Amino acid sequence: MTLKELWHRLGSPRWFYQISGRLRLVLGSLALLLLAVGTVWGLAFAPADYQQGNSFRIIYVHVPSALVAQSAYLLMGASGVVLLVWRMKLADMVLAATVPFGMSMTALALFTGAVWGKPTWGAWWVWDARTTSMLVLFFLYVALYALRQAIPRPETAGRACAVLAVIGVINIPIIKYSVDWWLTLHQPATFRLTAAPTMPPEMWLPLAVNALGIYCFFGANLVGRLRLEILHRERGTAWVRERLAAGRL
Amino acid sequence: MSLAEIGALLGEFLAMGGHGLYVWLSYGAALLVVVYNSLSVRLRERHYLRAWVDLERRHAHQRQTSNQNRGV
Repeated sequence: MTLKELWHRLGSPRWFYQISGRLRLVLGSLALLLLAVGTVWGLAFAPADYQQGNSFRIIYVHVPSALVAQSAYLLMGASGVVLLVWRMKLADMVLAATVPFGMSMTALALFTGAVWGKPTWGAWWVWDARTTSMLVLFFLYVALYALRQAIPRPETAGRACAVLAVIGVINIPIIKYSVDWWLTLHQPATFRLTAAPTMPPEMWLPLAVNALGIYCFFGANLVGRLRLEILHRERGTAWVRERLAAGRL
Repeated sequence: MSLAEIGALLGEFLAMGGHGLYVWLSYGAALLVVVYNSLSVRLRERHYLRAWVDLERRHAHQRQTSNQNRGV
């Protein structure tokens, strides 16, 4: 299958539904395995930080959730472009299905950041560039959710959400570079593409495992939500009726 | 290793050197978010299948009663 053929097939929700069942199972199993390994490793076997002690272990949930929250937003931005340019149905479904996941992950990143901030900075919350731009990300997710609820016509709602999603992408580089552009309390990035990690491997390996795990979880969850969205939107078609009549989803 | 020693080790692990509250709050929240995302898909799937079965049953019932009314 060439790339062009794949692109055309993605326009068919039915095709996506048929191939995605197994994909979801594989991603879900991988997520469970990786998150279990990374979490036990990070909690029990990684050494404590020489300055922060054990509160440092919050990194193993804080960084993966913050990373995936931003990636989910980027995916929505890309889907927004695809929807506006090619009117692909699946892109609108991706946009709708990513919102609850991204919102919950942003909330988790903010919450674990606050809980980590208390013993480390002495405050639950500071209005510095990183925390504030993450809060903006959370509000963007809330706005996307509200916008879809507020517009009754699905096509109009989809296009309005696509525009907002695309505009909001500007916030992602602001989050990423906030720790370099402004003087912040937040520490700089742990992983950089151009340099070795600033931590020893026994500290960053569990972080990498958990980050990979949360991405697999995102994949599995997104596919699950997409499948439901497809069933719902195509509920009048013969192939959906046949599947449901056979008692399987 | 005696039971008391295991208990002491476990207590030490849970205390996290005085940071137990912060660490367990974070991991608890993470578990909550993962469970919420998984369950919201699972429950909607179950709901969808049940709704379909109900609809089919109602349709079958309607067909039956309309046939009876026509004396078939």
